[in-house]
Amino acid sequence: MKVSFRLNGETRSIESAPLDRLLDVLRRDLGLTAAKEGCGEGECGACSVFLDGVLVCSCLVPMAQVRGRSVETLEALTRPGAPLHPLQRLLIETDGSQCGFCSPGMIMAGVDYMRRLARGEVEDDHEARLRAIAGNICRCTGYTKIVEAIDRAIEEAGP
Amino acid sequence: MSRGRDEVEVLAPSSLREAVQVLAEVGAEAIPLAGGSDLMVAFRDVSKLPRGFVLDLLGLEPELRGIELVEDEVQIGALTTVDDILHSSLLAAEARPLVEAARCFGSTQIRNRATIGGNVMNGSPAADSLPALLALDARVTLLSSEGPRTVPLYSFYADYRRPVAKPSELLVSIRIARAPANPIESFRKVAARRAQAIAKVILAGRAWDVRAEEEGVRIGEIRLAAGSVGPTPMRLFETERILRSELLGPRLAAEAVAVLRSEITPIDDLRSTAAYRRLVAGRLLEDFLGSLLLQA
Amino acid sequence: MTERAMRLVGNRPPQVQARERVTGEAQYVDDLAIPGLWHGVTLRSPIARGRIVEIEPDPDFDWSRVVLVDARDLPGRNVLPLILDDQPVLAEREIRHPFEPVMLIAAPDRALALEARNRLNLRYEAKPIAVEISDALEARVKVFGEDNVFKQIDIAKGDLEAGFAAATIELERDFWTGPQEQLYMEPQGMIAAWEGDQLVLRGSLQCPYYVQAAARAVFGLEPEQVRVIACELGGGFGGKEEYPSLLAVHAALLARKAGRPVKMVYDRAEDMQATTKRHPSQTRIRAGIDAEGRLTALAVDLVLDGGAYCTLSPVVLSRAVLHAGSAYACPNVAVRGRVVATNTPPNGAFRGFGAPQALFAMETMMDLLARAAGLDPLEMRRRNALRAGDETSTGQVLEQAAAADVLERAAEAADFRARRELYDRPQTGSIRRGIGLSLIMHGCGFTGAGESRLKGRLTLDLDARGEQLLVQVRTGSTDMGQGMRTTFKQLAAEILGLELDEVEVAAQDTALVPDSGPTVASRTLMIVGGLVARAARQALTSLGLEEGAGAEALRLALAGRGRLEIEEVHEPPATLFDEDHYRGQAYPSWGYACTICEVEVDMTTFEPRIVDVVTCQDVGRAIHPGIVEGQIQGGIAQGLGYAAFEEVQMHDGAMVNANFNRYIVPTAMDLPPIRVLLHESGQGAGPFGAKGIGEMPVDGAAPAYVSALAQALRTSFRELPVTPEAIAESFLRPRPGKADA
Repeated sequence: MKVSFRLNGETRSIESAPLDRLLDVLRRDLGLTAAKEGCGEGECGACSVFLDGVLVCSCLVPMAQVRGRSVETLEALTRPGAPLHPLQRLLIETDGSQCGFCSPGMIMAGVDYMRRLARGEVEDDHEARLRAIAGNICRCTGYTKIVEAIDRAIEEAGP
Repeated sequence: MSRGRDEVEVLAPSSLREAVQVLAEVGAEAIPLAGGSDLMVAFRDVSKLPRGFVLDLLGLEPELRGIELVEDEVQIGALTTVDDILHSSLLAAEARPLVEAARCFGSTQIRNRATIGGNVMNGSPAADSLPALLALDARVTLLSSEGPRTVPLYSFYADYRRPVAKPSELLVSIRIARAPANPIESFRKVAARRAQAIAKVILAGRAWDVRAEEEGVRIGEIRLAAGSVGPTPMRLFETERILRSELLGPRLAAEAVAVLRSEITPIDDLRSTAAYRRLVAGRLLEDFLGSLLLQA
Repeated sequence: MTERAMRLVGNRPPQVQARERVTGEAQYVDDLAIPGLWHGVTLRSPIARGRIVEIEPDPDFDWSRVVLVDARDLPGRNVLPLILDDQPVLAEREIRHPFEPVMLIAAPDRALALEARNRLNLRYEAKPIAVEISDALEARVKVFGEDNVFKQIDIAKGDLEAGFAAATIELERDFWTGPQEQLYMEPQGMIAAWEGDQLVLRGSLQCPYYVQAAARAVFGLEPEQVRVIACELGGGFGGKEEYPSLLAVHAALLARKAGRPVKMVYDRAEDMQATTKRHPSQTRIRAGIDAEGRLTALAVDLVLDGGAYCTLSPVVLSRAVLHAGSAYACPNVAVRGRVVATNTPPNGAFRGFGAPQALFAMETMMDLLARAAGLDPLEMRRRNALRAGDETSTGQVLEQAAAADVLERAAEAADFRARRELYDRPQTGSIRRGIGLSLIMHGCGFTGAGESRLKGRLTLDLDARGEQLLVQVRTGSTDMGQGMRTTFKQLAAEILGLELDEVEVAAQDTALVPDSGPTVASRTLMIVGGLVARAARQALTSLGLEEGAGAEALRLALAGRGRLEIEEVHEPPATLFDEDHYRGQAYPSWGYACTICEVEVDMTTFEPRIVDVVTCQDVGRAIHPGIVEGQIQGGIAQGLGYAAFEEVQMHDGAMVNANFNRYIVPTAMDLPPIRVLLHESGQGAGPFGAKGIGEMPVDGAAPAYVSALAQALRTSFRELPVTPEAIAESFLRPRPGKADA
């Protein structure tokens, strides 16, 4: 079937089976490989993207449910020539990305939390920050530096 | 010959009426799909694909997503997400145990996609939301072309992951009782880690009309439900009955714990042991009863 | 070493490829777009042991659409070369473990390859199995030789019985640890392509030259005929040390038969079921202490479960026995180590490599001894910690030993003594608290004479082209997230007097870089980084320049003489360690670490919660403190996972909880911030006095955690992992013979 949707601000129309996973379409058909497959079961968060502004695991989204919607991937956060998102920059500064495989999903989860915070949808505290990234497994860092990057990004963003 | 995932057709009705009509005609061949957090995992195994087609329900969001007061009950549309529940001020006031269940449910990504209707229909004995719903006297409304029917959640599961809904019926909403005056409530989930985990034991409770008397505490009404301790989420009727029968004190508490441990039927599996589940379920009840004694 | 203040060593510059990693531009193997690529999958054994009777292809399937490979497609011997050459590339008749590869299938798309796999009916006859260490030792089922022992190593020092005679307290206890899954976030993956008579392998791998050696042996090729390229690596932790060799050979067999490139990327379940794990262990320790609490005698009998094939198990065993005494002085020692064969998938390299098992046993034993002697765990370790001039179990005399230093610093930062005393007082209520510590040491680099055999090489290439200075480090060491590229740049730039971006690290491609030895054993910085420093200094000498000469001076000097290529080889004398008797210098440097862990236990549910972790680690010198802290925090997180969460559940030799929601690793909510104190003694064998730090952090986490838990619950735990179920059990049924507890 033909699926039309917005991808990182542009309208795309592609041929896909209705139960194809959004993750496969992004990676295989559209060449957007920031989202990674770590488990294929929605348990590791490496494939996180925004669907209509909502953070989801793209391995659990069938293309049938992408039709007419808007998808935002990590690629949209960085435009050529433009500065990195503060969380991306801080993840570099804190050495919070080691092997980097979880980083795209982790950044999407952190950005989601910052956006919700800016929209006044969440009550911010340490536990809420941890909960926001608890669906993203990192095996390298023990999370300490990732949490530091998120703390600093929120602090920079200000109240 | 099994079919590949790319050969399965997806129908996407745009109204409840249309969806019910489709189910009336070919419901037995269809698998309804909401947020996909369970089904998209299951579909990795081609043998779990439907014989006919997948019925994508997300087009019904305008009709089936939302939380509102209807008469004396809170109605939760079947397509309401777990994240909606977590952020609902109405539920925060009327259904604390359900909000607590939502808080420890999966991850942000999963809470954003998983729907309450999907949870109920999937019927996992370990589902976080179901003991909370049972403790809140939930009733589910099923709709078919012949009209609606309402089933109490405690009688909704015939067996392990077998809801009594017919293939022609669609779960449209869940209704729960509003919070009584001065409820004492609890939701406790025990799991292998503090997030993104499937429960080993869940105990949800709500008591009200609880009064301190000279010789102990009188429990007027109590609802107790448990998860991961049997083939289905369980309302603990026997334990409730004992607790209403006499004044609550150490003796009755001990008796209730013993009844609970005989009422549940936990097993050894990959996540825990029957012995641990039985032990901890009882201790969670002790804890809850302790809070009743304190708060009464 | 120079007196000059350092410009780059000790700084935290942004890491090489960090930008690409956070933008998603970094190319992992499954991200590569290669035209005409087919996808390969593996048909595996459903049983632990038996004989293949027949593989029947479904006659209703169109087999012309796929390519099948079995053992008959091998050009030569059916052996994956490693230590014993006992592992077949594909099982032919005999099956020796669950998920053993039997056939390979390639197709234009993965779904079709999987469909074809479902149409192959593997008929077999099952045979009796040995899946536990006890089964292997009984040797009723013979998996390897007559006694199922792949390798035995003995260490003896002093007079053991005299040592026990001098003891006032003697204890004997058993300890067990389960398997652990590396769970790198990126599953195993490889792309093989035959380009003319050259085989090109791109993959997620730690050791390009291991893969090259395996492919050369299987296909009978010359070195230049096998080109191995390490892609951006999504974590390894040892899991991508030896296993990628098998995967590479599989992909190459399919690519050869299909006549096109073939990619094999495991899905998570397959990766967890079929690839290597940390060796399960069973250890008996008998130890004696004198009236002052000092060790007088130590006898350790350690058995590792190697699984069905030998892989690297003898080397893992070697590290285990060398760490069996932890960081303590003891005059009389006997260690017997054995690694045995069972019908489980082969166990293999995992960060720590035998040391975590041995150290969990010894550290827990130290707590038991302390309790018996009426000492607190800190005091017990103070009295026994190795000091400079002391000798290890192999008679290695330590020129430097920071054991006592890291112990005191960590204890002070964690306020250990006060908190330990506080939690020793009677506790009531629903939360019980405990604090525990461990003191360990970890040998950096290959064991014993290993480095002499490896002869790791590295090339530094300098050239001036017009105004441009080109400086390139060429190494076969890989960067799996541990920051090799950044650290090597810092080293070269520091010595040459350059800015970081004036030094390039070449891609990890065997066509471009020499064999630096494998990226394992905490050796990359210390050994190969040492070669970077040596090469840089050699270059300066050749050019007649001083250390820190700078770009302009280098450019001028090079313009005069042309391109300069420096090759450095690490060739320590092989005589430092006697492998036959396990005597001498086991490692060029030992690192020391004290880890302190505080826990709370919810007495309603027996759920533990880690509330604080403090560690002080002797890293010699932190070239990049951010990288070093990250290694320590990540290693401790894995060690805490090993202790508290991660249980590989086995049934008939097969892992049955092979996914992310059944095999539990910590999330961000399960760990507190991990507080790291770096102890920079400057006395390591590496550049600027650095020591290897990759593995040491894992070692001490589990015993520190278990020590804390034991205090909170007034008992002891001698088996990993300690699950809430085990805690509940210990609470309800205190062990008989609780004298130690």
